[in-house]
Amino acid sequence: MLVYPNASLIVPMATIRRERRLPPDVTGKVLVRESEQVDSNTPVLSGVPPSSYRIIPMSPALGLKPTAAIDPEWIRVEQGDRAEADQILVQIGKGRRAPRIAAPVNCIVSRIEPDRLILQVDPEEIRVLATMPGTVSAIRGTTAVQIESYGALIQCAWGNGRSGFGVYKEEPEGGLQTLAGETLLTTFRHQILLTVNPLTTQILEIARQQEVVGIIAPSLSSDLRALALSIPLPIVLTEGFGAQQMSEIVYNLLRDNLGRQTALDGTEPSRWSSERPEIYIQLPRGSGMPPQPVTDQPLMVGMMVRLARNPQAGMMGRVKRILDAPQAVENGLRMAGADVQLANGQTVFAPFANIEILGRAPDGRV
Amino acid sequence: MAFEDQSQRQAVHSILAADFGSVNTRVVLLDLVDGQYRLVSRAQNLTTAAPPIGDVTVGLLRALTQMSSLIGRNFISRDHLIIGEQSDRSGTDLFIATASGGRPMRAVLVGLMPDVSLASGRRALGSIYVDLTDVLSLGDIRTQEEQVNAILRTRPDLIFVVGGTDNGAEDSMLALLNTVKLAVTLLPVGGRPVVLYAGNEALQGQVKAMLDSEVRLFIAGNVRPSLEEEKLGSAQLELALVYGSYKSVNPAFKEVQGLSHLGVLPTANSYSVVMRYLGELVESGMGVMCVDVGSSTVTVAAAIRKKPYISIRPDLGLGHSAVSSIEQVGVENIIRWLTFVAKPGDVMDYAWNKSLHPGTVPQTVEDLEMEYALTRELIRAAVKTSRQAWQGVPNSDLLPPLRPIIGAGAVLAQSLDPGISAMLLLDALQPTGVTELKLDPYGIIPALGSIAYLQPLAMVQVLESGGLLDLGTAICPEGRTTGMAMEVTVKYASGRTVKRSVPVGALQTIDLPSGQKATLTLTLGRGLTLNGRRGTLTLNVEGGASGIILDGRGRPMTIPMDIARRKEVIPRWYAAVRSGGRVSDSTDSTIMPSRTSKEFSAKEKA
Repeated sequence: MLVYPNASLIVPMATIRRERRLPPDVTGKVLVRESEQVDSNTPVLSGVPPSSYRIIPMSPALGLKPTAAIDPEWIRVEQGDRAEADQILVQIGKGRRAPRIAAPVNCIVSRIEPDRLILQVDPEEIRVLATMPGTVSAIRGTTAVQIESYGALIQCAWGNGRSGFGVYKEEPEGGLQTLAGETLLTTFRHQILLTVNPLTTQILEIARQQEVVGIIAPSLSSDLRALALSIPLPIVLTEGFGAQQMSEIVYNLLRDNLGRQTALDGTEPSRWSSERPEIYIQLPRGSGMPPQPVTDQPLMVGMMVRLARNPQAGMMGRVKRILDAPQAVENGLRMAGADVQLANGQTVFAPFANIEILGRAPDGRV
Repeated sequence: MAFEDQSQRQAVHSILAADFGSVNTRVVLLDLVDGQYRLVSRAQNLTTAAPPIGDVTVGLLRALTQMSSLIGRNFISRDHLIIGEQSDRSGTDLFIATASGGRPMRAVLVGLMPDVSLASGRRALGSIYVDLTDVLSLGDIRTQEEQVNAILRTRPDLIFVVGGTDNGAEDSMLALLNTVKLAVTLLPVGGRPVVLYAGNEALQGQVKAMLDSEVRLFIAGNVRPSLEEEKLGSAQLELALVYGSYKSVNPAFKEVQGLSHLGVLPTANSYSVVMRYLGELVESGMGVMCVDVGSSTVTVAAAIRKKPYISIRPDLGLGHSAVSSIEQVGVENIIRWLTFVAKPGDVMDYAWNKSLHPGTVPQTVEDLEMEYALTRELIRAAVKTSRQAWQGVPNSDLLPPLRPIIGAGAVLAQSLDPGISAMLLLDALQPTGVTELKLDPYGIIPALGSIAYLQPLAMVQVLESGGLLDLGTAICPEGRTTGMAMEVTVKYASGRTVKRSVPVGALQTIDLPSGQKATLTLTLGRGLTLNGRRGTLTLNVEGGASGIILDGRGRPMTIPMDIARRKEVIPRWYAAVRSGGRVSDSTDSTIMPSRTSKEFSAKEKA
């Protein structure tokens, strides 16, 4: 029987393709060409979100009775015209004191009805950044582009909705608080802070003050979530909420690449989206093109997996045996699952529902 | 949509039904066995609606492959479902799909009075999976411009217009409809919402004239034909169709929509159909109810005095909705069920992590307690919402007589023990009197309710042949007393008798297997009543997986606020209802320690 578990990608070297798209309902344009090299901060798409409307009843605005008819001759614009703020749209007669209606804002005359004007407020343009360095490998219409890059990829549990790019550096063993004065001010400035301990208010405040480019941490108390969302730099949590430690495989991968250019995509997980926060570490490709992470594959013996729930939350292991019959877990629930050998040699039973594949080939290689 | 002509049923041997939930896709196969429809097999796999797959058919085919490996019957040919049973028994005659997963429809509700038409409108919307993004009403103090911008900003999939009793207010309704028209016409043609009108029927012609050429317009009977009368059936039926059409444009459901004989129906609609059927079978004055606890939603379907009710709470659920659930029910109400010390922050951490991994299952005792605590409170909150619509039932803390109460959803269907499922229902709902408890362990109700449109006999036969698991009969006296809550004598059909004493605050079960009946004579403690009666009563009861459940905890039930007392009491309740803890017909009334209580105490020591 084939079982397809969820995936939580942790790959040391892969071809990474990520789509960047404009929000739904936004009409826009592509700002890059196929094969163009982009940086993390390169705008790749721009668009105009639907804007609000202004409804102007003409008679009252002209000082007439609400039921008074409007003479089409008074209207100085046509449907579809763009008008600047204070531009006269309707005027009775001539002269400086003639009753008139001026555009309240920069707008498009969306509709002219017998008794009212409907104006679409000039929308503000939004720009979508590449958020990772790479090559534009595909352009999809006018709303999406695909960026391709090579390197390590770590899918995280949570992000605060911001993205950034830089080199990351690990906090000292005793924590940021061991750094004093000038050292504290300069050590992490313009760098990404990597901490293996749960985030605290103190670290968040220090990061905010010290112009840190981003934070990679294992976890955060949910009480601090609102604070993390308010901080204007990307924060990604590799494990989740509470006081969880960073899983060994994630830490090892990060430690092996200390000092490399890294992009933090702090997408905040949403109930209706499959996008997750990610850490990309750009690596030289070498010869040949590395494969893409495998996100949809059945569980197989020998496969490296990550366990998602306590008492083994965040632990990595190798599937030793896929069991035919349901087994009991610590609390007595009986569930279908597999025996997984952890890094410390211990073999534990894990329900299929709590197993995540890492996006690597069954033999552990990407 | 109506039940199909019975004459067609001879041609249908096998029926495959798939229910696409937020986390899992469940498939059940019904087939003719000795001329009767029976549940033959079931399987489940992860729902594959989200990218990178983005097509629910993939998860469906995986579940079917699993089913094939279990029963040796093939349903797939070249990655496609075989429709029409073949001579080698591969394929299926009918395929039906229901869904509760995926993004709910964004809806704007438009109506006149908050307590009248809008209240009915909300209840009608409660039958499908919607995210109510705005409400426009007569009392709305916003300008028309603000209302139009609000509609445009939320980009609804549906605008549901109610209001006006039949031949009642017209001008106010037309003003609101003008706002709706203005808003929808400012949207690009391909991006306009569906409009469903279920208001003053005298205005239907004008509504058509205003909106028919601008949007896809549905018209239903007035949800509030008079101030005193509420009629949700017609609107709920149209809402089900609107939901189907919404799903059909979702790329993830496109293929399944084409395969299913009825398109993709809302899962909740099936619950409603089955409850309506079961509601016809119970004696007058009784009701039936089913509670489905899912990852994203909690659905309550009931038939009270033969009138069906359905409500969905999209903000309640154990996985995707875990955080909003706790925000709704209150963290202190979760903590009151726990036998370990947990701070509010711990509960919120749990909820946030569960929402990040909604498909995972608890492995530790603490996590399971948390899940069960949440389940109790979700059921309580969802039923509280649902019963607001139940007509002729006092809106008190206690439930009206319900028989049976059915539990559904993985947390109940795959609990530690059927007895635990029964206890969770009792804790959450606190029914009074004599209540039959059932479980939908195979997730079959979503299938049966939709199959009923094409093969009603299949629904009837599967329900009657054990499609639902009998948990047993719960005896729940009302009131408070001291000492003994009940002295009970059970007389089995074999003539053997068993006597039990149930102390106040205790929960006990007595074996009575499913399908068997017994006569129960019980003497209630002073101050307690059962179905309004005091003293000594004699009842005929039916058995189930948990036998007879004697609930001596009184109504309303009190949960110890003190953690030390909770550590003592709640594990006893768990132990009492588990198979290992059941008082058998040959032992004394001592509560047997079960593995659960040992586990709990071991954990406490640790």
